[in-house]
Amino acid sequence: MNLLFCYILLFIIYFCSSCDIKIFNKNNAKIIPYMAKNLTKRQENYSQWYNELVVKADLAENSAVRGCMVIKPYGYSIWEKMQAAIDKMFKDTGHSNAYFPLFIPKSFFSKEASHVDGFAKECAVVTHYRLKNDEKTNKIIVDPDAKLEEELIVRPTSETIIWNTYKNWIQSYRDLPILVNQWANVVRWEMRTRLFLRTAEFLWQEGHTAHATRQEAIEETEQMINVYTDFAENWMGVPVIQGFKSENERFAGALETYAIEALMQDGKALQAGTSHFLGQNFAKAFDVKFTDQNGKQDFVWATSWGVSTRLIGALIMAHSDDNGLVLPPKLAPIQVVIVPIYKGQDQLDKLNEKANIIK
Amino acid sequence: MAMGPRDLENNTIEIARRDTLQKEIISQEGIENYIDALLKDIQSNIYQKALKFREENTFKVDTYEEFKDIVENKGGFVLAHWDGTAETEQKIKEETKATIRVIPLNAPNEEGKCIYSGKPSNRRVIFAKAY
Repeated sequence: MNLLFCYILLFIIYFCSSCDIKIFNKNNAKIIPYMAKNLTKRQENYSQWYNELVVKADLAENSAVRGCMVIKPYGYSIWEKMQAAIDKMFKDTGHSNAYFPLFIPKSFFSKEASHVDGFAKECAVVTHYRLKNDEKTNKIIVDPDAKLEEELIVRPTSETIIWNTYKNWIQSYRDLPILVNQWANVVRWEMRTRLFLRTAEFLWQEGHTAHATRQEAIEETEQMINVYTDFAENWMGVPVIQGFKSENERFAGALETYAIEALMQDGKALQAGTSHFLGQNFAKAFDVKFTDQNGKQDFVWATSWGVSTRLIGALIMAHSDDNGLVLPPKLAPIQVVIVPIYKGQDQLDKLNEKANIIK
Repeated sequence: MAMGPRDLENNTIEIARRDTLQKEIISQEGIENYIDALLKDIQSNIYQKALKFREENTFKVDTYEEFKDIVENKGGFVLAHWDGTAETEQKIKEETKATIRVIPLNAPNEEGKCIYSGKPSNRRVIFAKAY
């Protein structure tokens, strides 16, 4: 029985290799994601193949909140590997991490006209801050007396709150550049959602930099699209094409959006990262000026750039096959699995002893 | 890797790689270096595979008929001339669901005519249906 069991597992096990090795046993059988049985074939229905794979590989699942996903431990460990690699690239290019609020006062959004146009239709809004028990129905209701004076927007992106903050950080050229990144969650109220690819809430990083010159800001924008390209190609194993977005597809509030695009196995494109040259738009909207070396005042130049948990969707769709998940070794949480094939405890003990040596 | 009683006797181990599904039996001697090299090979192999797929699914087209055919029936990246206007881009999107994914950074200059309007264009852009 054991022998048969293990031979089957030998075929269905998902493995990858050397830094993180797992020895397969009864206890971890469930945490080592093996090839998914009865998976829809890509040729039959690519979209269904993807949806099933994400769930069968135990990466993520839909939640009680429509459009929001639960990232399960195995899926999250891929994200952690991605974060570690990207974060190191940011640090190596002189950036630091910081954290800004989840909520943005509604009035901030109206300060940059094209920005609010772009995001208005998908904003979640906080209007109250208290619940109470309704005496008539004996149910919990929103307390009408606890209405906020000014509504708060759950951040769909943080340019506005960050540039409102930078106003206090920047007086002279000595305060520049500011090279800050934040790892955070954001909310965009999407109507049609899919695990990792498009969810109402997602995890991402957003870099927000401030510069004294137009030239320096453009160089930063280009540097970061190169960082994303490096990550996509050398870590994810996904080839990408760098380019500018057309005006229609540009980030709301940017003068130029650089993007990397990857091709998925069904022939559809997936945007894998963007880097925006924001010009002086946000500095003007939030009145962020600096005094240069000659004592002359000017508005500060800005960039922003981001990648999200969408990259996990790209990773799955780019490499996986009809047997299930295929991950690049550099981002695989488990790279090698050792499967002992045995009859009886005696053999298992000997094999495990050997497996531990190899490990 | 799979290891059974016979492997213990022979000091061997069976390796199965996930990307190609190939299996082989190797000696346990120097397994560390072998696995290290194998992982590098898998990393580069899946990249090459994806690159080959993209190359095979990137098409240059010069007419709107051809464009619609590929977008509808094949998918992939379609390199086509575009007149640079938002109107044309919008029309193409409405009619085919394909959008301009990027105006490639290092695209060579090439004189041509917009596949939709026939107006002059000096470089190709990448169209595709997108996630």
